[in-house]
Amino acid sequence: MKMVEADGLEKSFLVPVPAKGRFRNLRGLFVRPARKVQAVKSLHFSIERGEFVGYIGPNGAGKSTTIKMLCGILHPTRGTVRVDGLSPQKQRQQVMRKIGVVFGQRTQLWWDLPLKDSFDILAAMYRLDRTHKRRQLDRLDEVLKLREFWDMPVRKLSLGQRMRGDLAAALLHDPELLVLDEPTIGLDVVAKRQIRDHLKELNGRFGKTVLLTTHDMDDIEQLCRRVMVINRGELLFDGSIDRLRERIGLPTVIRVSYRSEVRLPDDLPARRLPFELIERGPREVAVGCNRSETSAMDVLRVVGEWGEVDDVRMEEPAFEDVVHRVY
Amino acid sequence: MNGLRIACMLYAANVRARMQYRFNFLLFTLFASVVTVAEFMTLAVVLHLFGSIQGWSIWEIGYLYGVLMTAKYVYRAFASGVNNFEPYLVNGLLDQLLLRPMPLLMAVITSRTRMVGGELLQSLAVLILCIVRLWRDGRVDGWIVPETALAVLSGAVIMFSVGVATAAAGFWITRVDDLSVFTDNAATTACQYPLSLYPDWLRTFLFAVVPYGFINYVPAMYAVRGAWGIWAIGVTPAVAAAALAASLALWRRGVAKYQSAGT
Repeated sequence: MKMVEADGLEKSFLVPVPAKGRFRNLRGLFVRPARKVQAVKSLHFSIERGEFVGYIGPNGAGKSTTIKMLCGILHPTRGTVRVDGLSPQKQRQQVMRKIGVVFGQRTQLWWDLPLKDSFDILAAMYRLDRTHKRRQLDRLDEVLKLREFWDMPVRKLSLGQRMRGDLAAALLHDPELLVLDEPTIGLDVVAKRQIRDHLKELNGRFGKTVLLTTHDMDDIEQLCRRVMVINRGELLFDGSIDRLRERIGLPTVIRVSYRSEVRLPDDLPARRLPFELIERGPREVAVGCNRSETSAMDVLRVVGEWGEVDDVRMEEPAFEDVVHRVY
Repeated sequence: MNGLRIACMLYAANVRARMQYRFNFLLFTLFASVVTVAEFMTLAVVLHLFGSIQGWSIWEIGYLYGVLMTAKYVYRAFASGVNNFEPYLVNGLLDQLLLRPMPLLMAVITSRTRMVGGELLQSLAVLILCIVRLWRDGRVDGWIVPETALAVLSGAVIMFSVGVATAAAGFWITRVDDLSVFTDNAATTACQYPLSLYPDWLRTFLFAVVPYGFINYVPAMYAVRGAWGIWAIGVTPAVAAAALAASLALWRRGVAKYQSAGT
């Protein structure tokens, strides 16, 4: 059975439209015209066990709405979503035992109590017995290093520590699916790297299925084998990162510097070049080419005629740019 | 039983969290008890001036007050989250609670604990004092104890149901603080006095819309006044059960409407 399956999933909200004209505030008290906004339009996708999927899109694209329907927080307007065959809306409590959720901007932990108290409470909620809980905490401590700070009240933890605590809280009941909504938001570089390493390990070593939303393209590039891109409620792309790069066909930039002044042929605009001239300096040019069509050697053969080549550098398209193209 | 154990654990966690802020905790407890005392003093002064109101003596009205307030603080003790539901909707706090593997209403109830010890004790003190006086005057007998207990517990359920219905309305209208002032605070204040004082429309409101009249007035008409039959004792738990069922149905419909808050 598929871990997650969305079938024609839709969600629309009624958003009040501000009235115009005289006495609009007064009239607004009685009649308030509302506009239907489709946050998510007819989504179809499925996630297999053990996959690590990145779910990306600009703000307001419908990412959180999708995630919230998957967790049973929101009820879809149309269509269904299933987690391990169960409906998060109708069987919310059973689904909650199968998934662990982290919302990066909120915490599940008890703010004023020591971190380990949160684990005690959650363990009771998920009916873990003492030995099971101990084993889970030992395992999580190995990756997340919780014991260093778990006597401190959650409000006094650093953001990185809190996120480790939140991850542990979401994983305590050993869920099969981990849903992460911007888990690295606001973290510094070191903490980000730590969290990524933990996630990699959880997916690799424990075989957890992970669905991750993020604005951090490094997260996606380093963690996810598969990406889903959503914008204005519609799925624009679903596939591997490499395929996404290919599909967009962003040019590889080749920078060539010369020992002397560049001598461009006079009839340059008339020639049919296999690349595009992007920048031109006195002793340097930058050209862009699509490497699936033109090889680097072909490019060098042409630019080599323009002067004595000193150095060549190639810049692969950054993933962030790839994604901007999709939006 | 497991549910009960978790509920106790969550309540205990709330209290421990509150006690982290010692000054605030002590101040709030002190402040809350002063308010209740002041409230009853006002009532007592009014009654002292008039002697009695439409044939209701000070002790009878004190009984009404005692039953109502004890029920109120029993309700507030275990379900103050329901009574202060607006922040859950406005801040999207409910998202967090929906992630817990327990019924949502249970998660809401156990997410907030109000320390009502002082207020509960004062309400009980008023109630017991009035019962003792009425007993000494030969107006009531030993039956008053189970009758009063039943009224208080059913009353707490009625207040809880009204609270749940008000909170559920929030799934449609979001802001419910003012609505709850109307359904809870105003209705409570009105029911401190015998309902026979009020015009028909208000009495109808307190029986049919916000049925707080069943908490103290109806049972007292039998237990203290002896004016109505014994049915008046049984009708309160029946109203409580009906109100609870209706409010839970409304709640379930509301949860499906929940819009969450943006991040």
